[in-house]
Amino acid sequence: MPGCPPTSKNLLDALTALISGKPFDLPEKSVCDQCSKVKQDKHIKEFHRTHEGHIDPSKCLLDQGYLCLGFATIGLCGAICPNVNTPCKGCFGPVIRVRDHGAKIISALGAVAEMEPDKLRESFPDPIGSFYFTDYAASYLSRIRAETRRKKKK
Amino acid sequence: MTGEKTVKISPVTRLEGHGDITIKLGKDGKVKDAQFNITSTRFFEKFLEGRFAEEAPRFAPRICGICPEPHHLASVKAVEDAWGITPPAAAVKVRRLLINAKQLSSHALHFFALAAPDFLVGPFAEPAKRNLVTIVKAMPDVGKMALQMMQFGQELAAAIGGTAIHPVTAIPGGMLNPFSEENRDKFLKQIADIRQWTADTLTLAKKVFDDYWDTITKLGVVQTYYIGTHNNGAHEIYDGSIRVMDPEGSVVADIKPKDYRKCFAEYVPEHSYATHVYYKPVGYPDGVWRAGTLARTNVVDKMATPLAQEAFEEMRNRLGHPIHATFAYHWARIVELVQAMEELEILLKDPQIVSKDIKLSVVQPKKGDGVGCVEAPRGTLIHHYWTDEQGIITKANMIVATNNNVGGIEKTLMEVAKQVFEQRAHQKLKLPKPMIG
Ligand code: SF4
Ligand code: SF4
Repeated sequence: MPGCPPTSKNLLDALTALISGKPFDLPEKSVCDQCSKVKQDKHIKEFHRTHEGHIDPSKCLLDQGYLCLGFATIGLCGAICPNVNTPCKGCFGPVIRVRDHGAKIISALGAVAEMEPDKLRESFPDPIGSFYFTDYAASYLSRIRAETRRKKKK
Repeated sequence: MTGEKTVKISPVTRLEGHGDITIKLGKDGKVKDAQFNITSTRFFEKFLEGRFAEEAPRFAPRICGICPEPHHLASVKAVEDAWGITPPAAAVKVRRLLINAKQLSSHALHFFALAAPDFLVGPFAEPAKRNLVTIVKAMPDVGKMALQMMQFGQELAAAIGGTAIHPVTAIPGGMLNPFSEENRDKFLKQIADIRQWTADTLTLAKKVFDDYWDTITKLGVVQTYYIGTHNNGAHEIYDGSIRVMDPEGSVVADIKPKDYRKCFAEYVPEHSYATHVYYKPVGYPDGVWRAGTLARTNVVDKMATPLAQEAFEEMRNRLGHPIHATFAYHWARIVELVQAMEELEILLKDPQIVSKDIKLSVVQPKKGDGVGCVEAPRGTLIHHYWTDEQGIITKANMIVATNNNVGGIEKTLMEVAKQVFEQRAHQKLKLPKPMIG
């Protein structure tokens, strides 16, 4: 059961399935699919940190340049954070079938951010905290790095 | 006498986190050692390093699933202190609403789910029967009231923070989301019920304290220092000064949270992952203090609201001052429950609580260090962060309620272990006929 933590509804659904012997399938949806903000085509020219300026409560946070990870995050929470005007940090883990949450986010940002690669990189001096909030340990990247460390030791 | 013996309780239940109790008895049957072992490490201080400081309030709540709100707020206050930011008055009111909502639900949960089963079903009843489910079955009105109070607090916290477990809306410079008029009206409508339930809880609790008077006044009475927050002498949980009180009841220090290191020192024990915090000028273990409900009501001169003040005076009249009886933690908890309810009512009725002016437009990170201190339900909580010019955390220090309490817990454990294993004191206590037979 993904989520940090899962909602009471998630637990109720999972337990009901368990007790009744029915399968409990994870949804295909993302947090964006559960989010009611008005979305546009994404042309992000600049990223803002969450404490900067004011977030317009009616519009998609990512469209406004706040790093909201709803697009890459499995839709189980009901879009808790964007509902209260706060960027999703991806705490429920990646959308179904994606194994590396951060890699998915980074590749998607490359497509929607209309910025020079250097400027994009400068916007996120802490990729682990920004893209791998709760699931770095489960990522390919962490395994690759652990492997490199092991080799170095030998 | 037989050989040496070790009594181990593993795991300790009714605890958020992981802990064991170890009591060592010598050949002569005397208690040699009493330990409270915190059996896991968390590494939060380390993995906050390198993060955007404004995101720390998203990471920090994960320290505790029962008390994420105090961590969320201590964290945001630490960043604001480091960056020299004062959030708008309305944002502070919304945060106070959040921390009091948590105080209400946590205290109701602790009293009804963690403490009451032992009192209502009886301390020697079958362990499998000593739980909230038994109370709900045998005293459905009490069970319903308990659940509704917890629910009210959790739902109000979720209305402010987005979710009750790991809230998200506090940000350096204020709050990201205003508290809506719709929510205000919804929760205000329930306030009359909450007031009634709080009064009923107080009545029930006082009956329990009368019934168990012998236990409260004889078992686990331990002299320690006490630590807690106040505002001009009045009980305070969101923002104030820290008082330290000695076992005789004199205030020996009264400091701004920023100066905590003048009074706080950490002892690193061999048998536990949690450091024991104590009053620095006195040293360890003599300077061991306790935090949380009883400590707070010991160090303050008065409560901040009238009904809580009444309950507080009654407690002090009956148990004196300072109160060293560990079981009185429950009494103090109910006094605080009453204050949380009154604070919530005042805040919900404040027109500014629905203000949209809850966030500064310009918030500038800077190099520096800042301390954020709040009172979590179980005690004084401190977050201390150092940030660089970009506002990235370079170092973090946290002193959580557990650190402030473990030294005191072990002292109490030692005392109770002696009473039980050496004097059989538990068999001599006058106990009532349990309310639930
Ligand atoms: S990016 Fe965030 S705000 Fe935008 S639609 Fe997705 S979840 Fe909603
Ligand atoms: S961080 Fe994202 S996934 Fe987690 S609760 Fe918030 S919106 Fe849902």
